[in-house]
Amino acid sequence: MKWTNKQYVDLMTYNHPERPMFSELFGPIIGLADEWRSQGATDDMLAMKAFAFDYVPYYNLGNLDAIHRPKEIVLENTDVRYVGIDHFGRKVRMDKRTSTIPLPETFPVETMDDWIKIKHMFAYDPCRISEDEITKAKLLQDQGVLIKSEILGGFDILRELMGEENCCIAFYEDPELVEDILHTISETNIKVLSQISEKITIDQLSVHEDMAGKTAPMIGPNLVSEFIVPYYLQSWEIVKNAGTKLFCQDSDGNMNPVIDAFIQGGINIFYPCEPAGGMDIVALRKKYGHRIAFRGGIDKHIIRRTKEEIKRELLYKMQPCMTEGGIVFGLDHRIPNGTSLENYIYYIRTAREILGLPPFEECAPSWGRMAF
Amino acid sequence: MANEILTEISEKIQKGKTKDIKALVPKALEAGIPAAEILNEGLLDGMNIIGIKFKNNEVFVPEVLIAARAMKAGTDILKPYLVSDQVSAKGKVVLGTVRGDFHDIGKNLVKMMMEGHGLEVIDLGVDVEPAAFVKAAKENGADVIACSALLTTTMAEMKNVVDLCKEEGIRDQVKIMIGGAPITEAYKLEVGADVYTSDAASAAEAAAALFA
Repeated sequence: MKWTNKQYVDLMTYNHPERPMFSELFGPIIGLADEWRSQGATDDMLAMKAFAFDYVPYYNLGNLDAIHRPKEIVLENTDVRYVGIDHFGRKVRMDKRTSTIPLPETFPVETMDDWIKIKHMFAYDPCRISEDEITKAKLLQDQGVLIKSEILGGFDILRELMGEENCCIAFYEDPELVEDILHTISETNIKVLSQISEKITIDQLSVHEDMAGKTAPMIGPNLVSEFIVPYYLQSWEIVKNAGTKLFCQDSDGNMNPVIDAFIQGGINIFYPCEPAGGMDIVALRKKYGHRIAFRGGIDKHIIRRTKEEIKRELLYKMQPCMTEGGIVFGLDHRIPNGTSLENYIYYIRTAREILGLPPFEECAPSWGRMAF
Repeated sequence: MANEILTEISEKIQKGKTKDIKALVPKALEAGIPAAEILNEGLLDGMNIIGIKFKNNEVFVPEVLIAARAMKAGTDILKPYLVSDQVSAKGKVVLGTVRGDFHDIGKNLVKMMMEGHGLEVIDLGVDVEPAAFVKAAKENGADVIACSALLTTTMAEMKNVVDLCKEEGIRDQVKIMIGGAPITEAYKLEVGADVYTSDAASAAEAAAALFA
């Protein structure tokens, strides 16, 4: 079912929602379509629409990303391999059989001098937001489209510019560089979000971090509080004062050790809440109550196992304390290879039954990505 | 006196104070403390404590990285003394991220932690062919092959490494360790590997235990 922005905001703020959403946040992983086709999947199933998923259409307002980037250069592009120079000037490569995102081998920032050379890409520029764009967003919002703006991740952008290891070390050995990068980006965020908030209340502020592994986040609560929280708050306070209610963070892995710190930074939606990384949405609901909401939370690995395990996972995750609001149920990332179509259909049927929804076959086709 | 210096070295390692380590290790040598003792009771002791704290989520990647840097500064100073004292590594590990996978932070943390347990690590990097793991193990007389994978699409390569070890007749001579985001104990059993650990510190502990 297609939801409106208001319905979605009410759901995520526990404002008497009619029911939780049940969705597929990301879609299938590469290669799964071939597997499913051989198992008899229809085109609508491969497009995810057959399963009558809940979704809310959304529109991104303003450009807070790097701009005036150098052109990407392709060095090698075969059926199996991609090698190139990306928009940050990094050499990247990818094995197309296993990945969808090229990974960098080199990074543009090691010193303050390096950063100064590319700083202009993150500075304010009038091209980042236009009156026409705001007018368009207003019209869409009136039609029920969720309007979001997305700031760069405080950890994520440091990693993109410096590499994981160098950025981690920089927190201790070159904090001035870390602060200067975050300050520059924050100044841009403030100008753009202020301009937007004068004219329209965005529904959700988003941030992508992807900063955790299976057992822990890359950085701990001390560094999050010292460097990332002030950066978040500078943007969050602007949109919050203009009426925005949702601030959503995207990070795989085990974020448990830093959830409290990020709540201090304004975050009130965490996704995709990866159970394999120790993220248990039921335990988190019991600990944090209505202070935070979730998207995802259902173990993607479970649907490759037995039907009993699938049902057990759904009964646990969809218990009454979870269905009262603040949740978009869905797998915690893309549907993995090796998931049989039969199991996936069982997963959908069982979930809909627990949630009291009619069988998907009786509903209109519906799906939109919910990774925002 | 010796104990005080060694304790201080351990503490400075834990805080990642490279400059202090560069001053303290020569001071310990001048005080007549054997290089092996400085290594084991100073540098490695500090790194082991960091490993335990990392496992318990009391410290995180940045703290491990600066500690490992400090340890490297210390071992670089000690190396000639360790060679002349004929102090050798406790065991050899061939380490890499499997074919098709370019992620390296997890692997690098495992390497640092293993070195912190006194093991010699031959790091093959990322996107490593099964044959390269086997070749390196043979050439270096390694006791352990450790495979890392972040992607569900590349984890199957771990079975290829296990199978190739069997084909090449070295399966009985090496223990195969696996780890990474999608890896589980059940997957270890499925592919026929010997050891699965969920984090870098546990991987190093498990590897060190194989040589105990």
